[in-house]
Amino acid sequence: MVLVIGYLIFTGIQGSTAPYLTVSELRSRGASIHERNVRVAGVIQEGSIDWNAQEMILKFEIADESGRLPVVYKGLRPDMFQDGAQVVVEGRYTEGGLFEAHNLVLKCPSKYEEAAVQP
Amino acid sequence: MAEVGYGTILLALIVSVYAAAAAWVGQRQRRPEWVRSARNGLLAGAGLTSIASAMLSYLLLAPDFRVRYVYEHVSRHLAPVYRLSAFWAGQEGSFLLWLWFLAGMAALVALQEKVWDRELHAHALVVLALTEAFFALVIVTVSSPFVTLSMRPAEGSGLLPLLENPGMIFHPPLLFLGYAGYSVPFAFAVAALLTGQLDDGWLRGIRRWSLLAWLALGIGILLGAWWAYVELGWGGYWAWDPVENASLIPWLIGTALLHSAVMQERRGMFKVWNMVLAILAFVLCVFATFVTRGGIILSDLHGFASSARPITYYLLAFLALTLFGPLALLYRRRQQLTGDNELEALLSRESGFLLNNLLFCGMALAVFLGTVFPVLTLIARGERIALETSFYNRTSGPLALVLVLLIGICPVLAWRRTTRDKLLRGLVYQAAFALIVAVALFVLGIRELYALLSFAVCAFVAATIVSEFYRGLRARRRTRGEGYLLALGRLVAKGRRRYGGYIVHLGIVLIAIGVTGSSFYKNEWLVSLRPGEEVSIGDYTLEYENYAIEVVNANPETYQSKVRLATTLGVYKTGRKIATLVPEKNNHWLLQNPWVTEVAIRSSLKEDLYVILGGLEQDGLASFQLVVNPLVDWLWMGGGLLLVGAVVALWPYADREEAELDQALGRLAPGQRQGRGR
Repeated sequence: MVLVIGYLIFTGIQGSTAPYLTVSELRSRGASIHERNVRVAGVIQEGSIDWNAQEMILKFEIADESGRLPVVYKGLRPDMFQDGAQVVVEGRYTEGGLFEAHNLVLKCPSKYEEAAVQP
Repeated sequence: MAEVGYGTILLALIVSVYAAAAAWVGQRQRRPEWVRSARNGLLAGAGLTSIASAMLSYLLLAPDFRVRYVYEHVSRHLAPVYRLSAFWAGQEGSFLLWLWFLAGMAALVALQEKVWDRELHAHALVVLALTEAFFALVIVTVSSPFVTLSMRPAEGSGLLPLLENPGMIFHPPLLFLGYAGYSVPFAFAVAALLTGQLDDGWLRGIRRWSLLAWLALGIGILLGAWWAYVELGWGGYWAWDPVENASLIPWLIGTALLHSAVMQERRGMFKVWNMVLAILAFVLCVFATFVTRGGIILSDLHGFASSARPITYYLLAFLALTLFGPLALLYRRRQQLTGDNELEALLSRESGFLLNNLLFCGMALAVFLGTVFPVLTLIARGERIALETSFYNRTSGPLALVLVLLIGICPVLAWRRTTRDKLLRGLVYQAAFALIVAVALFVLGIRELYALLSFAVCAFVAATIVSEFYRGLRARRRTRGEGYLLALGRLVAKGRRRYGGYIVHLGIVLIAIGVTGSSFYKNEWLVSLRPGEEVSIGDYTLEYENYAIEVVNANPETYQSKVRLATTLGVYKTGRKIATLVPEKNNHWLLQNPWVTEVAIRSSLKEDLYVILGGLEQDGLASFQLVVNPLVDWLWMGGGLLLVGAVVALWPYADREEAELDQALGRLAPGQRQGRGR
């Protein structure tokens, strides 16, 4: 039983750590990258947000130290989604160089506490 | 006022240090009057912290904005009940609440002079008084809610809108009640190690305490899940966030303790184990405080510069002390803690309990590892890597399923040993029922293997519990000729521990059903509508009736000031209007993250229709995320049963005889105790 629990934890860790890639790593990985689920972290570029409320399609560009990446996401626009925000996009890097995200995670200071305001 | 509040905490610190010293010296030098004085000190501590809590409540209600904590958490826009709940909205107030509950528990324990062995009692008072002193010290030095500003602002900044929810009135206090409650089992475990009184005395005495702490923590966690569900607006109730995990880990260990304590009581086994669990449960409560209020945020999501503050070091030091101190004592006493009995057979109630404990501890370990994983990778590889939530589902899911299955098998297992035939005969009806349920669900279209398995296990367990009740009922009716209701009432009243336990287990089954349904069969749709348009999803048709955009609480500006975007949707099912939902999205412009979503939910036993307003344009074009969440209500019902069952098990007996009868009823074969090889 102890072995079973250990095995579950071990394989769980192996299966649940999708690594973050940088934009340049994404470009240099070759064809195999297009079939995999990957995560990229970056900053939403000034003026790049194109939100179509009717179709609920969100287009934007993120950038890290190694380059810029255009992203498309279908879904609700997250509340904190704005220029300059830190975002993790999870999804597939297509052959055309566009990143199709199925999940957006915005890094926020805290869900529970707000920085105190000084009088 | 604020100065008085601070003063009382300072006095509480002095009094609790005194109480610890007096209890220690009084015990060493055999002077009962000193121990008595320590008792009075703890009573005074409870009184002082009550005054401090009353002060803070008064300052919040008034509200007196000269007090910094009040200024930071309250505004005049808030209803009185939320001004009061701001007590535990921030770190300083939370610590005061912790201290207050702890002081109350310590005082109650101090009053239990008759119940306990004198030596054990005095040592436990030392531990409790020192714990109390630690929290008082934290408040006095680095985390006082009574700090005042140099001037009195006209208005406060207000409560975070997310916390303005009924769930937040009860969720944090219940958690803290659970955390403080586990200090009692901890104190007596340490006392037993210090005094060398390692027989069952300490464990029997803490049964009610550990059950009470477990109940408070469990209901607190469920209310937290409910709050997340109705307030955070992402369609789920549990996200495996470190803050949530932190409270779950001690609960899992506490559940293991409840079960393994039975093993020591009945069979004299698991002695070291019980010691370790009682210690760990409390240490993990401190760890939970550290995660939520310690100034370091473990989550990958909260990618904020997490700065270690003085309170971080205080809590780390306390964690180390409460963990390694008792473990060192335990190591010293290891020779005296051998069990009275060995495991005799693989098929026995004992091995069921052993498996139960392994599974709970395994789950706790998995959740703990997942929670601290980013820190581990930070140490090992210099970067934070968070595990995805799939990690928790992959590890906890199977373990939880086996645990639920065990609930259904254990009542059929006899103590010491069971033959395979007997076991199979005892399980055949339940297994047949489970199979019928599985086939029926398959025909109805449930094809997911894990979901089918889980529902079948739930049916199996429910059948076992119902048949246990039925057996008891039948016996009473046959021997006493009572009617069904009377027999049921008396059955439960005479065997509170046993039947209370069954009710709790039934609650767990309901929760398992709710979790399975909502995890496997959640459906989501994204739609954008203009006023007057409608959309059909699942069995429902939703008509977007109208919308409103308005400014609320504009003056003065506080966290409660908002631009309210609201839409009204009519919900129709088979042509009939069944509900009107008003999902909102509010912009609290003073907040750094101004958007707060207020979801609208239409619940039924079968499923919840959960509507999130994603955005609303000036012309009324609105985008919605519509979620159909099956069986979520079962979770909350299961929580209700948990409460009922635990209260039944806790309910004291009017006289001794009945209590002993209850003990005897819990045993399937009488006289196991005689079988002990002393």
